[in-house]
Amino acid sequence: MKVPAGWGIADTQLTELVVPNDLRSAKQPEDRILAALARSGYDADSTFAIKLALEEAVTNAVKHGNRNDPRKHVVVKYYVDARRVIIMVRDEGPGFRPADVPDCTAEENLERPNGRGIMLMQSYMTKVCYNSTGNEVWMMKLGAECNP
Amino acid sequence: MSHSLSEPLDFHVRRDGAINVVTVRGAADLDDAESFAQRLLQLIEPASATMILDVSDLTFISSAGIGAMLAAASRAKDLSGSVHLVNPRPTLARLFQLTRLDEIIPTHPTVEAARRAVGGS
Repeated sequence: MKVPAGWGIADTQLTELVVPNDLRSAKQPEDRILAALARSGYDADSTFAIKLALEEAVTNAVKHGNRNDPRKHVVVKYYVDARRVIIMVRDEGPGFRPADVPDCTAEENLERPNGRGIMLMQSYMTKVCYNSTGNEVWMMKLGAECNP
Repeated sequence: MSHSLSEPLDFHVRRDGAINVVTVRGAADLDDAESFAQRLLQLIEPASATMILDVSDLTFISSAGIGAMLAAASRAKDLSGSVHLVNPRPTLARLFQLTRLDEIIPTHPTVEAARRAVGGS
């Protein structure tokens, strides 16, 4: 899947990192993206939101998509400027249908220890979408320049 | 700003009678989430099933950490205890509201207030 239409950049502007399927290795793209956010002047709240959404996406990829299989990899693509942050996370799993994930804020699910990642990505990012398989999530957050 | 979101996680446990008062500092991020969960669960025991978790200096937590706190609260409830949160930063307070964690785990402004709610002196 290419950068979703209307997100304002071309595929060639994305930086791609491929990391082994474990959470420690997944810190590498996170550290790079956080450094890029700092260089572009993102404030603490935006940085918190983007870090949270990225961690949710990467955790889903490692644990649910790739099922903790150390032979698999996670692909992260990103673009950061002062106007927007775009992040793609892809795993090698069979994918899923986001609509099938139970509502984590429903009364009967409140005490469940998992199932909140997708809701948090949607809450903290401006746009979130998936490829047709469901093993690739694209997220975009507008920067302060686009939030008058 | 991003530095505080990447500070290593630090755990300090003080026993106050049958209550564990746990102070957590730094960021409970990707590779810390599992150890965060294990440490919380290990502290909930029949002899000390109530925990006051001071998160004043916790700068970041994801859904994995929230799940860990819920698992600890569930274990505490099974052992007739409870888990209480103290003074989350505004970013975390918003996160706890959004996930409705604050409806499962009571939040207090200070450790002393949590201590009073638990029933101590």
